[in-house]
Amino acid sequence: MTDYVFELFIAGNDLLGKRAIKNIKLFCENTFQDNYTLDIIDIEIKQELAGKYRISAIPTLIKKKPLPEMRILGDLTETDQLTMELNLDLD
Amino acid sequence: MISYDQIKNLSSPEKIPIGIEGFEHITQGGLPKGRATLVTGTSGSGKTFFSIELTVSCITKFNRPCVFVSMEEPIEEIVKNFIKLDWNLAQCVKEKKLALIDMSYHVSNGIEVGDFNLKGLLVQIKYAVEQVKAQFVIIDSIAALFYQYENIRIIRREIHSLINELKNKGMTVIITAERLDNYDSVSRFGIEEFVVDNVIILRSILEDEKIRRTIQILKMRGDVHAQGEFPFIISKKGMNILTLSSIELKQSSSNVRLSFGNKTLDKMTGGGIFKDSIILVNGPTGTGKTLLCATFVQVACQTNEKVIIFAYEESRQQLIRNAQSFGVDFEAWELKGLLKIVCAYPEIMSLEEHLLSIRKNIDEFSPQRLIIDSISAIERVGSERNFREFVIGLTSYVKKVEICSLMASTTAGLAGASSITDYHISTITDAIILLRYLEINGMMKRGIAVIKMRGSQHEKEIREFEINDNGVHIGKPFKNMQNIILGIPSSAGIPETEKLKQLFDEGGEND
Repeated sequence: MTDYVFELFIAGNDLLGKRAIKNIKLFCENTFQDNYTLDIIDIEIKQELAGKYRISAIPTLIKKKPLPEMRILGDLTETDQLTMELNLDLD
Repeated sequence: MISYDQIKNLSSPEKIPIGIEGFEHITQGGLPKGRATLVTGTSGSGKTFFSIELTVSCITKFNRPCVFVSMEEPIEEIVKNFIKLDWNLAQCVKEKKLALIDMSYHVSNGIEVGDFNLKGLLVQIKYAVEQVKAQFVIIDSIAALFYQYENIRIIRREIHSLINELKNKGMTVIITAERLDNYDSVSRFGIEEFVVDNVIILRSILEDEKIRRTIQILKMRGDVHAQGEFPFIISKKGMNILTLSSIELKQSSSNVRLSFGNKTLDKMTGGGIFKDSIILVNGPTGTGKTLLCATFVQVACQTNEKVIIFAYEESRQQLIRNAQSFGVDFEAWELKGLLKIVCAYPEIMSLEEHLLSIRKNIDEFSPQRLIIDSISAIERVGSERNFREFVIGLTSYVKKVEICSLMASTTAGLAGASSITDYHISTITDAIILLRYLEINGMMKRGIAVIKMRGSQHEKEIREFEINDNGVHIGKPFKNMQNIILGIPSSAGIPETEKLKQLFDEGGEND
């Protein structure tokens, strides 16, 4: 089990989604190295999940672990802001 | 450049009825299919009510499935709120005619880092549309998105694309948005300017300590609609739009005459009143208006006609007791099912509700004659404009269903002078009967005159009107008197002895 668990919701070939995937991957590699899990969920394929998790905005990143759970939306281009908002206690 | 082929087969959008009472009338057919309509209004103007009734009505009356997205109130609250109205949203969901999407703001959407879109919402709606095969998508309220997200610019863009996507799928879209003021810019965030085809405004205005609700179709692209504000009421049966100013004067006219229940009065009106006419009986308090009403009831019931009385001045017991003193037994007629008495204090309802209640009672009882005692009592409930709409709404309705109606109105002063009622009503009524007090040689007398009788000759004389144990008694015309109607009678300049002789020369044309 990894210490950091993320879910990223995207919609099909949406440009913002692609950008978000690229950004979050880069961020995770740099910050957590191997100690993270990232699930990418395409709501155009799994339509029912959008309702289940009440996803309106795309892309939405959900931080599952460490708790508390947290949502961040947007293409995550501002890495500094992302770091700050995630409020991770990094060494 | 657009080619001919691209546009040759285009047609104007079909309008689909939504089943809200009066709505089809003011929109001349309903909402345009496949278009987006904005419903806007201040807080408490009935936006959610309108959208829920529209949803339920489309499903239950026209079998058109809907998707309802709630952005402000949690869905559970909405379902609970409308159980009392017998609008069973749960049943609609069970029958797969309705999909509910809860987007109320109890879960944080998250912190915004960079650009985003609302495809998640779109996917949810599209998924729901497929599940129930929806034709309508209702979003209450779209403006909530502006509170749920920080970046207004993105939200504007996304609302635009959301609505366009839904329209492209053939959906008829209804969105609501709040506005700050009843007569301000259309909606708070200017949604209407860039995204919708039609705009409906709901208003709730405090007027003379009463709430007055109106609906207005501000625009309807590519189609005609009724102009201006229409009053509506919200009751347990839903919304009811009163389309007053659109009623046409196309009522048929009848040649059948009915009796007043008094031979002399029938003679005065040239043979009785027409079956579908409206008669105004006007006079100061105590001149015998209620008695004339009782006589009217008696003659109708005796000929097996049904009568309905709306009494706004007296209680049921008082009415019955008074009629009894003239030998008219209301209770007996009621038992035979020929009479219905509806008593109400004017103040318990708004004029719109009174009108609705009158219509409802007429529909249920289907009478041939109607009495309102008195129309002037109702006057004090609303503003002047309100009252005018009430009178027009009422008279046009009784004309439509061809009910012979007698309306009593009380003048403000003891002698003569007109009241606001007469002003509004006199042009619509077919016959006007005046009852007046006159003081002659130190005696209080009553006079009766027919001053208007549409489509017929009538007597021009003023006769003496007496009330005794047998009811109405109409005597001879007053001779040699002037200014009776104006209130201060005076002798017409004949010798005193002659005058006295004429005044007390009884007999002749009595009942």
